[in-house]
Amino acid sequence: MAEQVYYEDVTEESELPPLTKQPTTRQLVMWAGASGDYYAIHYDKDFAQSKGLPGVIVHGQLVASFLGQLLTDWIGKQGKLIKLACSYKGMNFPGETITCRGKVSKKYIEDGEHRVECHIWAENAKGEKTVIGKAIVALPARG
Amino acid sequence: MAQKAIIAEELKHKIGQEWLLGEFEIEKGMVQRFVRAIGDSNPRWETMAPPFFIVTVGGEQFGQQLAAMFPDGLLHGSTELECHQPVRPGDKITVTGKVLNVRERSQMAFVTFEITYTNQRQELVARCQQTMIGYQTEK
Repeated sequence: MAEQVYYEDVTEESELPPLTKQPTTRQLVMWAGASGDYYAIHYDKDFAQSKGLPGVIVHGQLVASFLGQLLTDWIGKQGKLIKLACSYKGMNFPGETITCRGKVSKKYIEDGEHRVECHIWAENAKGEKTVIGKAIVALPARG
Repeated sequence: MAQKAIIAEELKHKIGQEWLLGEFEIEKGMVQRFVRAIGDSNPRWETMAPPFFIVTVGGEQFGQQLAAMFPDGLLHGSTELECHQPVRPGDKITVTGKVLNVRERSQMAFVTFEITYTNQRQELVARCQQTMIGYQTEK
């Protein structure tokens, strides 16, 4: 685990350490079981194609969970995730490399907390942003 | 096209009505299945749930209802999660759903739901807006 990041360490434009994932169809099935999302476009190719899709696609919320991990890995034990919002803009396919990234857009104090707002996104190997969003976290301050 | 219009009309009548998705006791195994599915080995999740875990609570029930509402094509548009309280094994979470709004655009129906999670102490744990997109598939 990385060392605890503090509010003072962060500046606007600071980049979050990226997180890379490569979900397989097996991982999609694990996610289906863990999340209760059994919609068959995520494991049955024929069904996915009958819905007009090129094949099985990765659950949007699995990618959102990767973005959640990007944030919790970064903010450490003393940080707090306040908000995570994301839009599913494109599809990810099993076997593809997905890289989650984030960049600080604002830092401010509110409700007695040292808050940091970040742009977050997931991109495929071609650099296309398939999930984009925004997060607000609170970080500890050195005081 | 006709089917999509009916779904949108039915859901418009439900705007603002709250319904119970269920009450769920959080077990350690549920949290472990979640972190293994993501591949997140942070030792912190041995005693508490990662913040995004909450969206999976009642997820199966919500998914079944969505499948019934959108029998044709369904995609996920967006998720907006606000976290208020951490979740730990042993918590009892009550999940309620509500339709916030329904929009129609380019033969698609965009429906935003608000899912609210409260714990056994009646504390607000999280609130999540989920936008789903119903679309027509070619027959």
